[in-house]
Amino acid sequence: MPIARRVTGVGIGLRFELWPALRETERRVDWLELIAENYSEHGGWRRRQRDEAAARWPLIAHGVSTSVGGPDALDVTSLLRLKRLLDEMGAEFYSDHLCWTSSDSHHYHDLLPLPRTDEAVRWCAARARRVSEILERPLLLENVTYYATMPGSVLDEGAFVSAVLAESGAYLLLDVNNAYLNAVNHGQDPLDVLRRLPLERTRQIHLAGHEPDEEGVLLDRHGAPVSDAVWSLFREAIRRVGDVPTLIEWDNDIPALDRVLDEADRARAIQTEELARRAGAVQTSPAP
Amino acid sequence: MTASNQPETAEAPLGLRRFFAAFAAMVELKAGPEDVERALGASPSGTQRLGFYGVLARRNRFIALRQLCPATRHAALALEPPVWEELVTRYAKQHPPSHPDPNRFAEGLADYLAAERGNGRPFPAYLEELADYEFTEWCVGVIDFESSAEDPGLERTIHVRHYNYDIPGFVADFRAGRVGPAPVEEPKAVIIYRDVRTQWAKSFFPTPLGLAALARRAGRTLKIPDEMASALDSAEIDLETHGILLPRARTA
Repeated sequence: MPIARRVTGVGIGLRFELWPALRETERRVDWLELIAENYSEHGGWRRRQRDEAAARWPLIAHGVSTSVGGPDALDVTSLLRLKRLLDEMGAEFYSDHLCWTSSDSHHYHDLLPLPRTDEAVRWCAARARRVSEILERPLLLENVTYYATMPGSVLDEGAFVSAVLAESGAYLLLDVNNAYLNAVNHGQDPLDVLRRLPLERTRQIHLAGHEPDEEGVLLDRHGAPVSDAVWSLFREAIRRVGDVPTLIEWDNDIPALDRVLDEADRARAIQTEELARRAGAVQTSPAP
Repeated sequence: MTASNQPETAEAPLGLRRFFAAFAAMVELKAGPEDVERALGASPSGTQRLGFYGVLARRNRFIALRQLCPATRHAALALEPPVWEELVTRYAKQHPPSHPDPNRFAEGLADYLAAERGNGRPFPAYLEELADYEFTEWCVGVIDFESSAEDPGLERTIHVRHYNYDIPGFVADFRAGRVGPAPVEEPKAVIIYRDVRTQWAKSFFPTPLGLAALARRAGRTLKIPDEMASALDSAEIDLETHGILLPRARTA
């Protein structure tokens, strides 16, 4: 299922706290991301908000609870409700995380990493294919943060993500902040971690801020500006990936809308600069 | 084969099943990282780092309840000694979140508090009323139901409670930043509802006639003396004015 790239540029999350200012803003917002479960399962003000947002901006749905790698049977009822939402939105694809979030009908509300094994590759790939079938659209899987390598892991992160995407046909939602955090938290070179991901399958990028905990572990909190190191890595990512929609994630300690839109402007400027450079490089490269 | 009838019963392979069982015990706060490593082998990142997922899980439970039940938390923290930490810890162990929506984690809190109080725990009764109110308010705001003039959404977008304390007043004061340590004891009926005009959750103190008008609109059979009919109609119009009921067509 090829993806038509209709949504472009830099989006921000449709968050409750930002909504009043968002309705009034005249600043540029290329698209909005909504957390799919908040809208596929709910009505009331959320539906009204979604409809109002959709009248003004393109929307992209992103999920947090598919549990692509998890042990429980896929929740087909919820997936069909989700499909209805995606149909209403005219969504070209759906995205969630390459992780597990539930077990034995208990939901952890955390994006938990998997042991990186061949067994897990096959398991995740089969379930990702099935999710894509049910939703009748391509699936994007996001590389998640992992604070510890799970016992039994034999593959590195890049090899694991690549294998799941290759076997499932899913695409990559490249979270640049997660790649950076994983590199720093596990003593690796961020650029090397980035390069080892299947960048050629990237169809969307996420950017977010992080914070260290008391022990210096970098946490994926989405509660701070994007760090300079992540901006640099984003520039590298755009050089390799090209023109894909990029999201600024700010979900905790949410500041005034203008501060979030400043981050979006910065991402857009980097994107524009690097895409122009890429285009120039293509145009000036000698014919084979 | 359509999506809805294809079986989804495939079981994870054995190695993964062992992983999920061991790791789930840690994120359900029933086991430590040492237990996980005993079952699965060592994490290359070390035991302490593996245990961070237990820390995260506990932290997330506190965040979920703080966000959904902030007034309940305030009242629990105002007790001497404060009971919030103990309360959440025990609740989280006994009630692993069973719904994908993190807000639903608060669903059983009021019943839990009532049960604990029944077992002799020193939790004041207003804590369970606060927890019930805050969760119900969230529910009516987001439930996927559109009310109509014929079906106002009783038990869906409209809930009727009888509280022994002024819970809506306490929560309103809390949100305005001028709250005391505990709600005032003041038994009264409360309607928690989704305003049909704005879609926002609100509360309203109904009169007995207002409750009767709501019941009538919801299709409940009422024996109303003829001389009260016009008063009941007025009470119904009052509910419409507050956005509790959609206006219905009336003959002049």
